Amino acid sequence: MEFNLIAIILYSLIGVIIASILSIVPALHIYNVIGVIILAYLKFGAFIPREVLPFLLMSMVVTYSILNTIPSLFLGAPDDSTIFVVLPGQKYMLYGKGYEASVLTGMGGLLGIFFLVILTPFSFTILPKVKQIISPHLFWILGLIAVYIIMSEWPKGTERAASTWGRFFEAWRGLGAGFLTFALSGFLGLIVFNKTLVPLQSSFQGIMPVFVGLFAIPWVLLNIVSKREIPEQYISKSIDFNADLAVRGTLSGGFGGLLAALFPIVTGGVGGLLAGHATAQRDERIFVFSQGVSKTVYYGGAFLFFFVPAGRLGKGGLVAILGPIYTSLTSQEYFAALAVMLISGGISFFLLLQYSKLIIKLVRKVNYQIVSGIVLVILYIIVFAFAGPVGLLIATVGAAIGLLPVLFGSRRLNCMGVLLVPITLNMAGIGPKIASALGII
Amino acid sequence: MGVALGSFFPEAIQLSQESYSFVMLLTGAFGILPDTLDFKFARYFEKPDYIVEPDPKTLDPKPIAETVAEAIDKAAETGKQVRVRFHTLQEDFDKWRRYSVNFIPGANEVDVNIGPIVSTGQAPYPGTEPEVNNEAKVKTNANIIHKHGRATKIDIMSGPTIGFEKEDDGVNVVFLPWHRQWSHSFTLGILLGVIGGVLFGPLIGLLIGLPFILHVAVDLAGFMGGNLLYPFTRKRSEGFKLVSASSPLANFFLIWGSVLVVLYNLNRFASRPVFEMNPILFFLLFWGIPLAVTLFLRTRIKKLSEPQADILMEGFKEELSEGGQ
Repeated sequence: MEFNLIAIILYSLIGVIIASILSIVPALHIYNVIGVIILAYLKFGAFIPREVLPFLLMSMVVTYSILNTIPSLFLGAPDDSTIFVVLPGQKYMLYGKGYEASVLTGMGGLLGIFFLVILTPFSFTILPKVKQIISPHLFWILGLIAVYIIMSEWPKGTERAASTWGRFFEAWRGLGAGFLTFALSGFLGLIVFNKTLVPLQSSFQGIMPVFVGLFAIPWVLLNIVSKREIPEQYISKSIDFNADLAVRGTLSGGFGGLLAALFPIVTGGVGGLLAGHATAQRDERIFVFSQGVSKTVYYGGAFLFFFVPAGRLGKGGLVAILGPIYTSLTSQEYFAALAVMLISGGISFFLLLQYSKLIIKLVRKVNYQIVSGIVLVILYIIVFAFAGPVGLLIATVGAAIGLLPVLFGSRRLNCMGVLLVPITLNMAGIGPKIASALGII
Repeated sequence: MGVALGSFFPEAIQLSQESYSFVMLLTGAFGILPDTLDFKFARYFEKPDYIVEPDPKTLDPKPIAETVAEAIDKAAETGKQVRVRFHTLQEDFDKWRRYSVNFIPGANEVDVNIGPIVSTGQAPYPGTEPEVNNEAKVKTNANIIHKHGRATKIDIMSGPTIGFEKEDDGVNVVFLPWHRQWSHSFTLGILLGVIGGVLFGPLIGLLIGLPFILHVAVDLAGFMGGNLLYPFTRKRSEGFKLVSASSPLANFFLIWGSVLVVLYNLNRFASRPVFEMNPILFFLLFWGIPLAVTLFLRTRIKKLSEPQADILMEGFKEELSEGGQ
């Protein structure tokens, strides 16, 4: 493939500009926008040169992975990969340190890109082999992740009930809500994956209303109901962090993101949870930082591995829709993609700093309930725009399920049953049978 | 680790690969079952003899120390295990007052310290320690035996229980007496394995029993052991104190090693292996060398971090005192 470096850089910058605007719109996932771009590309011909299209998309993905912290942290509208940042992030906000949390995740994002740079030799040699080995076993590995998510949730509470059974039920109220969330999410997933609910022309957006419903709407509703007030935020000049924490956070988030980048349906949030448990990280600063690492490695890595020639490593919706149009033939393309990651990551980090300052001013001036109300309306508009009236219905059902962990204090990751259950069962070849037994098809 | 152990059974790998069987899920589920039994069931059925509920207004460490000392003496007098449950002190939704209880065996003293306010992530807020009346020491009549050797910090969520048990030469301090008892016994692992084997065949029995037993065995590397042959043994043994259960490095390399074992075995038992490599070379390359490099870099990074952390904290404090922007 002919390489025009100037064109690549130019389109990467365009990608950064587009994504920097779209990433701060709550619930608007970059894959939704990319899906539309590719559809337009196929329909209206090559208004973007084919050889630069993947690099434009790469810069959009990287920019999104760093800037989507903003709607999650400041507007309380997370997606599946940022769900873990919200709670500690909002704690930071309550102590006037929202900016610091944002910078920490941004720094994590940059270190995530460096993690991928360091991983480069392995991307060509070891990772394709690993993928080849585990591919026939993916169904039980995903099943194992589901079992781990369910079994590793410990009760939360202060155990002050007078009787033994009182304490037991107090603890199991949250755990039970967690099980119920996983089961209902799984059932919803079986419906979504087995029925054509959204219009065919937007079928590639089918999962979007589910995710908005499960993850974003419950938080926004909670923000409205709880009448949360945001205290004055400090724009600190330094961050309470050091090299030791950075190394631990990078390793933890890097491996979590890598898991998510390689395994189907394992998102940055799930990967982050597994890696966080594996490395026994407790410090909140590491946690927030590692989530930044994890989501950049997850989003960026899943797409970067697509550039490994003949490696067939990439995963995710973007790889699925770009695959028929573009194939990476040389390692040059991988290195070009890596360079695009570095450039767009660097610019995005500085944009993150500025956007965070701006949004802090906004939430300070405008009543947070009003901001949350506007966010809720935007969520529904976006769902309607991409998935029609049925999308609104799916999002509302998803929100009802997503409210369970919010109200009962259980783990929000249980909502990942929506992907884990149907895809694990489908991979094992029993998905249709179970869907049929449940009367779904 | 349970999965790593299960991966040594070629029948299980082949069943998974060829018949889409979920047998390997058993290895993971039964591998973490001992802790699930403790933290989701056993802890709620213990009955404490004393409950320590510190007064948030006075934050007086003396009543806490006195209660603990009384429990120790009661254990010495009655010969029965006496349990004290410590409640946490929540000051705000994400603010908890930390206090710690320590035992000084030679002086036979209970030492209670009131510490800083910490977040739910257990990160302390600088400068929140009480400046006066923050420590109390109370003597006990009985000799104190403290094999665990470390202070117990009480801060977030639900507090721990400490048991006191009379032994020949004094009263032994038993941290979390409900933990790692019947649930962490080889006997329960064998029983579950036998039940699984009788009901579903020997392979399933092994995939259930062995990961459970491995969990119990690996826990022995830490400070707290297990009640290994319950009900034939009544007391929890001590651990080998090789690593702390909360050590990030130990946890990471244990899990990483398990992942490598699984990968190696999945490849080894595949109908068409992707690579061929001597297992010693494989583990040296992917486990031994990363471990050596990490250990080498660890001390250097820590040294680099300490002064830097201080400088950053100073900067942060200054900004707070200036009121930020």
